[in-house]
Amino acid sequence: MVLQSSLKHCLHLSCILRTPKVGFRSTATGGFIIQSTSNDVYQNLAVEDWIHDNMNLENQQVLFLWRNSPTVVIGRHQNPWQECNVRLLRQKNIKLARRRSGGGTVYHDLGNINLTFFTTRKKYERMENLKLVVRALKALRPQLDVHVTDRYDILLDRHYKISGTAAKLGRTAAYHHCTLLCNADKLVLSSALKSPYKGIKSNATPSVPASVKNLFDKDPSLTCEMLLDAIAEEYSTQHQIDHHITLINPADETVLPGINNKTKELQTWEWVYGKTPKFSVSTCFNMVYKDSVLDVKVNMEVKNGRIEICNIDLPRQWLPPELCSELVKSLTGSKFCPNETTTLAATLLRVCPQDAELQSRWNLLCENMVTLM
Amino acid sequence: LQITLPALSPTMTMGTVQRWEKKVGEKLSEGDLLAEIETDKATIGFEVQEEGYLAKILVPEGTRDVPLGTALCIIVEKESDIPAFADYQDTAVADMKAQPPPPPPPPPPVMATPAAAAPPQPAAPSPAAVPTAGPPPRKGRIMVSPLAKKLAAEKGIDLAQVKGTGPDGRITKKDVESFVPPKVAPAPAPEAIPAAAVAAAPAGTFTDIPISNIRRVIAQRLMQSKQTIPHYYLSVDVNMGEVLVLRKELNQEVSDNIKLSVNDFIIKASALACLKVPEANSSWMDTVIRQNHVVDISVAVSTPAGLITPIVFNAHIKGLASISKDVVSLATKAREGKLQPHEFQGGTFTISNLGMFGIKNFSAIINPPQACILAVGSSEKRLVPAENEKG
Repeated sequence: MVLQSSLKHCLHLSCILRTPKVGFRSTATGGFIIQSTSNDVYQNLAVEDWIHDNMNLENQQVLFLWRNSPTVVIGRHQNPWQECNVRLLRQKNIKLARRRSGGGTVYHDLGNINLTFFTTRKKYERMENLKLVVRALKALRPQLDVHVTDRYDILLDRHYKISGTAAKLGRTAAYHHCTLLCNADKLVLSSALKSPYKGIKSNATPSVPASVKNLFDKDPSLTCEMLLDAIAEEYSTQHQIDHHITLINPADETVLPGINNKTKELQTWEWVYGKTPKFSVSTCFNMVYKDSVLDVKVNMEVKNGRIEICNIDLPRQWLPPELCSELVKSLTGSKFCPNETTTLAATLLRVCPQDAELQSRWNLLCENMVTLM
Repeated sequence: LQITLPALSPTMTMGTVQRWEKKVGEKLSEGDLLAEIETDKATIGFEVQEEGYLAKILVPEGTRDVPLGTALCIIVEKESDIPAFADYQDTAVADMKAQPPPPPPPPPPVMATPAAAAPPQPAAPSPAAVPTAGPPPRKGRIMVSPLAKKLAAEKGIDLAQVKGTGPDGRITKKDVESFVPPKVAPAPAPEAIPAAAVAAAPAGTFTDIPISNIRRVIAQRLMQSKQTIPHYYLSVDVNMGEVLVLRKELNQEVSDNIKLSVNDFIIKASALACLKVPEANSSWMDTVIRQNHVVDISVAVSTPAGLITPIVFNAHIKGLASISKDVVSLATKAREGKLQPHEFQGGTFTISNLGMFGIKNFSAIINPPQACILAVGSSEKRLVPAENEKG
């Protein structure tokens, strides 16, 4: 994914990073624009981390442009099971990422663009950034009815959300990032962001659902490239810099030393799932077995993504009680994860006498348990 | 000194205390990250403004919408002042700090809190020490209470070796006192530990890896198999010369997405052999031995979660290409954790192949209730005396 703009060229990023004033007019609001060559959400989030941790933003500001292949991104303190259909994501190979900034859950695909505004903590100004985006949109298409709300959303036609915002403030640096819906797949978006999981109670940050629309729906002549270009243009005007967009490769250690470690960390289970604030699951499901319908109640407490307490209430004697208590004991302390549960269940089954009836009942119970995760 | 929630950003009116980065008893230096606050879609690091020690946390992690100006925690200048706040509006944090014992010789039960009774060996369900998958100390710091630190220094104990039983694996005074070189049983009387025994253990001789539940269950199963089934082993060398030639030929003929492996041939051969020797394709079912008329081959696949044996069903009637496709698909699914239960439960015969690691031969462990498992090693070139002059 490369912009077709003739105004950009590749500068070696390390020159820019180490001697920021070289090549640019060093005014009070110096800055530059970079764009990722990758569509991998983890790599792109890692770039944000890298810039946040490594760059000196005292005399310059940075605008980072990026797009991702289909991904659901949850906020730092959110619960993925509450926010999206984790099962569906796995089936459809939609990635799940947890970002370091707060806020709610969003769906990204190549029809959505992401903008990150890096400044010092003092110069952190979300409204200004969003107004810049609106100005850019209006410069491109004056008739567009877009405006910024006081919740830092951008609305189209007063009603439809086309952009959401989140931010992270560190010791000296800060970043504000936002999305912009150009031509994303709304069907996938709504099914991905619809959680089927019931009975979850937690203090995790909830998302506020909103009706969304693509800019493309309003004006089919718009493309992501045009939007990115317009925003870059507006940013360069604002900061009195050249409209150069530097491409960066988020896998390049020579330009971004240490970046691959950051990327790896963002992909770990411990980060994506393990950082979920403590929550409890209290639900019941019906299992249809031969001619009867069975009621099963499940209660679990999950901390750091692992099951701390587990209770399964089954009709008496439907399964041998020792086997059930083995299951509960094994689940306790293990990850709240379908793979682990499935493997545990299968391994446990082999420890007991083989019996087709028992096996099919066990499988039924375990399949249902797995759907909770 | 009460620390209240300030406006961390221009528009902030309230915040959620998402995470405390410091524990009660920890030393706070200016600029350290104290807590992570979320407000209005922004995650903000709240830093320590004044040096001191964290004496008490008033607002627990996860508390949402805390108004500005609410008291978050208490910081004291001197470490010795901390216990005074232990009961201050008592909430969550299991305080592992002891009352400051006057002089060195440690009279043990000065521990104020019940949580101290947890034995040094954490069992998996115990909430006090959750075996986290990640590396224990964050950023290389060892969580230790100041008193324990002092005690360890006096005794010459290397804290990196001591196992912490406090919250988040924190090392407490009791941990230091009961620290002994590995083999001793848990919870010894603290006075009984002579300094000499401690000095003998050299630094960094072992790492304790927590046992995951899957690993425990697999271990239990394998142990049961090995202990209850009388294993006996038969080895034979198989001449693979013609198989390798056939494989090469077939791979050239067959379509691009299928590449037959040596293992696929072994699977097919085993399946056909099982039909001829049903005793090897049987299941011990306590009261009967079930001789299976179909051959479902369990193929051992190593995954991060453990050893899994997905099944190639009806291997006796499937062709090589079909077997090959199955194996590739099952192995991929196994590694990605996408196997369905029915795909790895069952099986009448198991094949485990370590040939790709250069292993010559090994003794595998039977998968109950099966009767037999085939352990395959790597092939090697061997010079065999010719039958006649022509070879």
